Amino acid sequence: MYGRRASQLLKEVDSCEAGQLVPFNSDVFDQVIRECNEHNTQFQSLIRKMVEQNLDIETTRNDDHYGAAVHHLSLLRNKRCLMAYMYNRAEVIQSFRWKIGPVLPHEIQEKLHFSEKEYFKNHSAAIKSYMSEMDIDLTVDMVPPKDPYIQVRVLEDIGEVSLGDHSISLTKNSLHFLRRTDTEQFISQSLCENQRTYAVSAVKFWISDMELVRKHNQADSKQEW
Amino acid sequence: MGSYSSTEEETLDDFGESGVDDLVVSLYQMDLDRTLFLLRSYLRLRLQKIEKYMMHISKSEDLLSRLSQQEQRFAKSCTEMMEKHLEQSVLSKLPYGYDSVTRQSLSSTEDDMGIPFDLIIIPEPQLDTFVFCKTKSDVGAFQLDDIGEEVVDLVADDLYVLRYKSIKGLVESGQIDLI
Repeated sequence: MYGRRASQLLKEVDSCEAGQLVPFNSDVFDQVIRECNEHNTQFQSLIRKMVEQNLDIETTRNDDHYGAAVHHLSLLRNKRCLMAYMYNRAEVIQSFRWKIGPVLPHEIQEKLHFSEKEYFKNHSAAIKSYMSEMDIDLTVDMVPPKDPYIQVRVLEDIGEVSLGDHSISLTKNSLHFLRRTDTEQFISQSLCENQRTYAVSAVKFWISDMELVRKHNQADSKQEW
Repeated sequence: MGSYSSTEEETLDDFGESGVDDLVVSLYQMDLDRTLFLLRSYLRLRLQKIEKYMMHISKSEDLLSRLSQQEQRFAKSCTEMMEKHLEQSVLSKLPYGYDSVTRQSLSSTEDDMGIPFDLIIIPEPQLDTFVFCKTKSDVGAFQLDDIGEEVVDLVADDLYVLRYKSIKGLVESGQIDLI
């Protein structure tokens, strides 16, 4: 049946969870493209046949006319499906820029068509140039802030990081109590984990920890809580 | 809002230097964080809307005029990139006559062999959805559809669930608030 393969592509996109991506199906994609070219050849040959019979293409309504119409419509349907496939994938891909960051992990890279990789890069660049024009970083601060300070656990070695007036070494699995704005860039890249998300039952621990840091700070800034 | 946050940032810097109470500083810091969050969310949401309906927006002068200069540039480059992406992944492989982004085929604007084709590919916002809204002032009898079968009496400070399309004009003129 004409158009079945193309609809398969769309079913793939549809059955996938929102915001997720399945690997680019280049096999079926190429098959549909071939199908399109086949339709076009058939369409052209039917039209040619009608011209050879000296029939007016505009007004004649014979078998060949309807045959050509079927090929034409099938081609259009395939085109719509292919475009929808690419477009919907592109929408997911551009949402990655907000959710993951400018660098996509290897697992996602593998699922992309080369043109999609390029699109992601260009799209990130457009957001970046917008942000530099506006002089504001929009990729941090994704959740409403509750406290200026948060406790974080480092998931991967980040190394020496300079935060405002002092620098701090973020080694794997170490716990830190830092200004939220300073850690945001690492959290969005999932190098740090916000402890508060699962530390609901440990509020006491949380407070005592805060005091500890305060005392530590008192030593050099003489400020009291 | 941008100016508000930068004033506050300055205040915060001053505090840091003059040794104001730590509690006050952290309260200011929190307020600043929240303001920045609001500002960022606002800009972010606008960008994401532009991303979603880029082609629809770049087509209409009226919609484009609602964007800031930077947003217009963003919308333009977004559309170009999307077209380029679709071009090189799909359209360049299709036969001649079928390789346009906005038109189905070369002949699609004409009555094509007795079958009309003016199917639109460009995604557009859905204006027929229902929205919650609250009237600011008395509007009176308001016609919801074109033929005048559905008429509703809009009283001040009352809540309604209506199709966005029909109250679009009221929202734009500020007579009604979306909730």
